[in-house]
Amino acid sequence: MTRINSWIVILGVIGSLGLGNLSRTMATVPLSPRIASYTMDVRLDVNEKKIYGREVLTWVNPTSHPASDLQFHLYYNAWMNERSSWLSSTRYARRAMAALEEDDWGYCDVQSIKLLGETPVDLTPQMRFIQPDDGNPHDRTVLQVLLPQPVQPGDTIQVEIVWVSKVPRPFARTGVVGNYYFIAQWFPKIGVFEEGGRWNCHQFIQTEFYADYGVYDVRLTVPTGWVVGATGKEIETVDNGDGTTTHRFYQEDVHDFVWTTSPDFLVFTDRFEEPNLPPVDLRLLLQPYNRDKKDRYFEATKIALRYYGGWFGAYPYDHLTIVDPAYQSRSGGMEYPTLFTGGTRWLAPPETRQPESVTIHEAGHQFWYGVVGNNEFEYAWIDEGFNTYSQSRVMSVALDPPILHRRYLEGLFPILFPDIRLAERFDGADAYDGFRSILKSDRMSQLSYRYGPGAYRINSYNKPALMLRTLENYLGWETFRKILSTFYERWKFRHPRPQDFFSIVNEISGQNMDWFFEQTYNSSNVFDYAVDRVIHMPYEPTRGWVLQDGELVPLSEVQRDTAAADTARMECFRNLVYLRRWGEAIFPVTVEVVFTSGDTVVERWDGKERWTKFEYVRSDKVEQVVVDPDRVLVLDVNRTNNSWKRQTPARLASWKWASKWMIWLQHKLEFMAFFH
Amino acid sequence: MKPIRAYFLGLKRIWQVKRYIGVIYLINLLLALGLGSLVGQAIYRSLGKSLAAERLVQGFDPHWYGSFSATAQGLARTFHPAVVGIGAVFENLNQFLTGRLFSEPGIFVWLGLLYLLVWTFFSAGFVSRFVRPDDPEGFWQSAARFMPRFVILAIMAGIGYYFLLGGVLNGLGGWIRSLTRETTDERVVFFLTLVKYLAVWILVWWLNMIFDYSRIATVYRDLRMVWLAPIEAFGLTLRHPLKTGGLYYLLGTTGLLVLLGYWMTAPGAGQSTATAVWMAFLFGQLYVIFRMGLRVWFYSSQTEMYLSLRSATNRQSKEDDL
Repeated sequence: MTRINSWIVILGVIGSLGLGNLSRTMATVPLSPRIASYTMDVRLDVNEKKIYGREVLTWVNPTSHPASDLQFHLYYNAWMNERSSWLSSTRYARRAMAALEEDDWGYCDVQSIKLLGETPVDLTPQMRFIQPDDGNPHDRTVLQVLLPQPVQPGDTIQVEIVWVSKVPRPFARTGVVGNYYFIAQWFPKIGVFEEGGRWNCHQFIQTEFYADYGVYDVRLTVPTGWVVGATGKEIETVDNGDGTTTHRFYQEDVHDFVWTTSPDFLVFTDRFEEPNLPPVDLRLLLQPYNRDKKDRYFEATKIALRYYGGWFGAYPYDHLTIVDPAYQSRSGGMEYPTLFTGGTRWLAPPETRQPESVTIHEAGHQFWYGVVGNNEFEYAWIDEGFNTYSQSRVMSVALDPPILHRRYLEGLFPILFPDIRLAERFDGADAYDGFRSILKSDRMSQLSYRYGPGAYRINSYNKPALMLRTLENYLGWETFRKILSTFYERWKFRHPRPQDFFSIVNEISGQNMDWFFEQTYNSSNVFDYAVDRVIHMPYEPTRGWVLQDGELVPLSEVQRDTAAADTARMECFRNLVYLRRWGEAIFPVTVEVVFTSGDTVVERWDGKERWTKFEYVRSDKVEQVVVDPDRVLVLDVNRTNNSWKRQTPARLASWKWASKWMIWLQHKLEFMAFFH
Repeated sequence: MKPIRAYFLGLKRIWQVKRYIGVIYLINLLLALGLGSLVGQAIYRSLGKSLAAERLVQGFDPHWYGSFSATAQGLARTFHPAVVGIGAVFENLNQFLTGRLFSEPGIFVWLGLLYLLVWTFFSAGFVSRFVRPDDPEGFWQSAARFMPRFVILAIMAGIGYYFLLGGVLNGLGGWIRSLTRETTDERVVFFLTLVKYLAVWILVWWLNMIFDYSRIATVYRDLRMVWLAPIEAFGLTLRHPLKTGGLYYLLGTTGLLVLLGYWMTAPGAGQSTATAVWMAFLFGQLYVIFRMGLRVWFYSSQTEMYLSLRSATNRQSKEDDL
């Protein structure tokens, strides 16, 4: 085995490929450790729907342990047959399975693998499929190759792999519909060799991304005239004269490579320019029927780059490709390095926030996923949760508040309800439709690929977004922004774990917030503080006996001196405010008590006991009580019970909304009567 | 008779039965009130002494709705903010057009069947009154007399509707899915889906028209063998497609125009006083009443058309005899 300095290898590969426009896209100083770099030459056969590929992987052992084997993801084998762990999991709808045809399956067939060096070694006989997660012997999404000699720490090897992939009908994000190809998770991709000497190379079951950074130099041969979008910048185009054209894309310091091609794309370009942030060239590949969404896509992308860049840290690349996914391609709303897919409908007025919402979200993933490259197999909440929080924050400052819209007639027609304002996703746990029913389904700290049914989404997107928003409210935006920008800066082009974030929170805030993470991250407990009851009663002097100077005397005599005060108090009310903690989780809350005179008292409750009481003897009564009036604890699963008011228009409110429901029912009956 | 003449003649005759429309409206209202009060109580209980009540009066409170929908039981589970304004119509129209109106929670299905019977009974009365305005037999007696025959017609029509909305619509849907399996342009699927609904609903409306005329023919001819009535009505619509179809679509267009007007004016969620809430409710009731009146209008105008076509046919027969 030849030990090669990784920089020499990369430069050597670049040199062998010809410089062309390469110098423009090369960083003078590597941004990332560049552990896994690929040079690929692939050809798409649109008749067979197959990709014929050859890749040379340059891999450095970044650990202090020798690696005696290599492990590769073969994602496409998740759709090889119904026995794969992906397809046999409950995630895939039975109805969609029934519609599958023979040509819809996909696979990745590694035909040969060779260790390069002075004397190349054929490793093909050493290949075997392993199932580290569920032991399903039919799952072929992880390929292990035993090496003749271990790769020593710091050593670099080069491996050549020849493979053929059958492009599936899209099961999840990647595949072909008509002449629209979206090719993601498509090549034999090495796992992550971690400190401790173990491969982190999970089967493809539920979660999907975790890879080391590197340099990708990829030649894509597709039919001439077809538009190609990919990770990186196109640095060379060669018409092969046989009806095909080869497009060469190059990108440094990324951890994945995706591409798409179709003859139908409309191509638009724009440029993001913002003071104090580096400019970014934007390229939009648009479906022809969504031409009217062009400006909305660009504007939403710029919003994301502006706010994420300003808050957390600049987008480190000078280009970004936005792909408007084809109808029924199931490739919408997905993030890849320097490229993401949006998603909209032909009829989608701006109030529907399609494509704005998904565009901001996926553009945001360039930061949380692309640059901060967490292990999404195990900690999906770091990229999805951070990004959902960030997206909601951006949308709340950059867009109009969301309103209700419904789509009718198989989703063809959107109807807006302008006076039904909705909450942003991070505004409150109870604003999430369905949140409460599954909030205890799993703890957030469960490894993401092990989440039970229904628990992945809640624990990867919703709950962490609320957790982060609660932290922001608790620590203050400036502190929290600093926490996030520090996290971004320290962990860019690296693989943070949850504890890395928690440590930064404690460090920057100067507080030990472990109590908070223990409850939100390590537990499925919920927060629910409530006003239980408010009682007021006329003040009455206390009666009975009291021990004074060793003698029992009537309390009335003792109090004679204070009779005047008592008389004054006789005009007072004794106000009792009882608060409850219905949830198991604990959080300190403020309590705002407003009296009929207009006076306001703000109390603090550490929230530890199951209940507490505040008592006020005053000449006026309690008019209103609000627990957590500033809505710091957005994780509180029931905001309705957080307040109490002496007189509320509950009757009017219930009649108002019941009357609207009644009209709905009356029309339902009338439509039914059509069939009489 | 031209469709437009039947249209206006029919309009005049609605007034002769306005109190019966009032009765059917009251039944509709009472059914809705009964269930609405349950939903209202559920909302009231969920609010308690919370400030959410104030927010719900001012507009809508998504946080309250999140809590409410997570714990709602029974009918209260069907509450959704989209019931506001035009949503009350569109939510149901969507179910109606896609053939899923009766795939609702059980109580709505049973209530709907009951309401169907109510309309069947009243239809018998309305048609009798329009066909035989001078008949000494009162509305209720006529309704009772023809009700059993109308029930049979309703069952026959129901089979037809089921076939079209259950079978044909789904079949066409599957065919379009298969046809557009590789289509990446949403507009293609959009227009094919629209064509699907248009095609099926032209048939549904035709079937509806046939059974409208069947009811009229049943009363006019006092048919005992009611299964003959659809045959006659089918022939009538085939012989006079422009007149029968024109009248049907004229009335349908009227309904569509009023629906558009209601869409523009339907009160949303902004009522913050009791008076405003009541005004919004009453405005909504006007549209409900209009829809009932429109249904009766179909009967009255189509009766005029039927009688006109019958007399023309009779005249022609006599002339042929001579």
